[in-house]
Amino acid sequence: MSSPTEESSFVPLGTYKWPAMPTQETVRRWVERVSHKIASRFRDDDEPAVAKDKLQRITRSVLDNVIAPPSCGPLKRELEQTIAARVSSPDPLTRSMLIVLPPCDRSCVIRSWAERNSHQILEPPARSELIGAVDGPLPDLDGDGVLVIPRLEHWFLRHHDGLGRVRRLLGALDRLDRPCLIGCNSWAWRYLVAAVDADLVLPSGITFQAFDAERLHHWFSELVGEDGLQSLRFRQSDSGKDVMAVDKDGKLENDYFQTLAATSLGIPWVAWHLWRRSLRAENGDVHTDSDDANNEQRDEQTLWIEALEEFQLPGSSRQSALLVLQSLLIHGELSESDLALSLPVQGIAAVLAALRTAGFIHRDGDAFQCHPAAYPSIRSGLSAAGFATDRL
Amino acid sequence: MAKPAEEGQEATVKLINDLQDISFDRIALIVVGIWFAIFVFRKVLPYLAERGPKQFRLYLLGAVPIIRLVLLIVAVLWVVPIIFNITFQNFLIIAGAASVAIGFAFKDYVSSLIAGVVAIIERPYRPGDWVEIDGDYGEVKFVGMRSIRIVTAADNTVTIPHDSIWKENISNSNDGSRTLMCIADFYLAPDHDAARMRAALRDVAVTSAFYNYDKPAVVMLNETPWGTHYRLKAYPFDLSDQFSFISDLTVRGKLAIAQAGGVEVMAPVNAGPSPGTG
Repeated sequence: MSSPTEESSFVPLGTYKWPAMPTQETVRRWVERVSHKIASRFRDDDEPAVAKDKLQRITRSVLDNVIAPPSCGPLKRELEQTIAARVSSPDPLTRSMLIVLPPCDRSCVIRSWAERNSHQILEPPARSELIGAVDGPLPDLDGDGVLVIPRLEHWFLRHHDGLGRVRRLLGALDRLDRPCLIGCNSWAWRYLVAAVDADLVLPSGITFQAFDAERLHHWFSELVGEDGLQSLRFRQSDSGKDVMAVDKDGKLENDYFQTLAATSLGIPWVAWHLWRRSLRAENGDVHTDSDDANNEQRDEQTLWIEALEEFQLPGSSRQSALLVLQSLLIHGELSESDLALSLPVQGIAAVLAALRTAGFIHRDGDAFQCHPAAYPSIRSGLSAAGFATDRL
Repeated sequence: MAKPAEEGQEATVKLINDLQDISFDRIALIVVGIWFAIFVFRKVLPYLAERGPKQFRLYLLGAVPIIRLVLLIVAVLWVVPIIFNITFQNFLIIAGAASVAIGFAFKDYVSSLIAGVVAIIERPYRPGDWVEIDGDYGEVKFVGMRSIRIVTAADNTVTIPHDSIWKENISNSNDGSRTLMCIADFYLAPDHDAARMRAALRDVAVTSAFYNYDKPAVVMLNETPWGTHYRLKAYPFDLSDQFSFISDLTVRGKLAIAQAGGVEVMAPVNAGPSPGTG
């Protein structure tokens, strides 16, 4: 792994290093789960640095100052560097490029890169046009310059008559005589490899390097610094520790960012959303630890960090909920009617309502998407239930 | 005449320890302790198997009979020396007496017990497997010392003695793995585009929400006197979804067949295989 201050280049698919959870955090979570099973009223005896009832959520405008969008962070620059060399290559074999990214990328990294560089974007057809599209027209792919397909997952519907268009697109890409950049989310890619042998046409995908503790710390520190908020302190609400603190060698003094990296699976937009959701402001007096009663700290502006959220799947209709979540991950987003076409689930509306209430999904117009902050819980839930997960 | 009688008495004395030397408290403690340990494993491991990650389910369920066998062997090896004075001669006497008792009274029972031990070693079935024995197809829920219990798709519990393995074929659909082949059968009037139909049916499998990506989906067909027989074979990602998977394949397969210009025909009775086999 390169230094956090350097840009990291993308790596071949299959070499992604999933950040590991600190041992202490793993044990703590395990003990907490067991304790909850045994005694539902189990509580940690340690007094928190600040009481929960004194903390309140931060408004969106303040959050945007402290941790500004976009949620993809330094990934844009890394993508720029990685792509620039390859799309200008004279070798036609290296001119088609597959970039596989984890799902829930709301900032549309690849599309925004294409727009910034004025490349031609191949827009996907409406989902309703994907059914029975075996003989339907395919857009003209000929032309000059780089052709960009930002989301391959928008070119199919998991329906017995919904794979024709993506098959024809892959066939056309194989014959294409111009540089092409194809983006696909990792769940869709795993599915397309199994269903239509997509890896035979696009054999060597790449992905970004996981955002580990150092990279996340560097990125978030940078965001705070950009807005002239250097006096802000970020302290854990339970221990009172400053999560940004580094020792004289520049190493992080506590393992919060390691926990965040592991929980977010090294995905920047997941970490960004988790970080924003865990920030709290104090609405009363601060109660500091006796050994940490430095008066100067009271003068500084402090934002408190609550423990990272764990999402709970609905108790009933669990299997239906998992099927819905898997379908949303594979397709990126789906309307209720398209979900009904891709799933053998009765009462999808009720399942969607339960998942929205639990914070797993959100609605954008007619389309439902998985929430980035809930993605780690979704992935572990699907994995535990035996579903095939993505591979990075 | 007195001498042989004395020798016989001496042999009896040597066979079983003196009553005052047998620690009944210790025996009771061992029996209760082993029974309790077996009880705990029988409850805890299936509990964890049903609530933990599915990749560990079959391992946890399969460990129950092995642990029970080991604990029973430990109990026997612990208790026997407390009661009996074990020598080679005494062993022959006990074995002879046991053989007579077993031969006359408990032949079938002991046959099942021995088959139970063989079943644990050879593993023709394990807890969590889907097996068909003598026409009954279901999930193995419990492997006891004498018998197994399977629960069929109709939610019937069927108890089958282990000695079935001596005389019946055991058809195990998953053999310890987490998935099994499912087959959906379709019978079509022969006048249709078979290549198109085959491709359409394969897409039915790979677009199922239950489809296991790591296994192939294939469509086999052959001509029969009553029409073209299509067999759509694929694997669900989890055993427990096999009937949902077959139903899903069947429902969407019918739609795909109609869209591809096929016409289904009725097959004669007994033309199709039992679910989950094949």
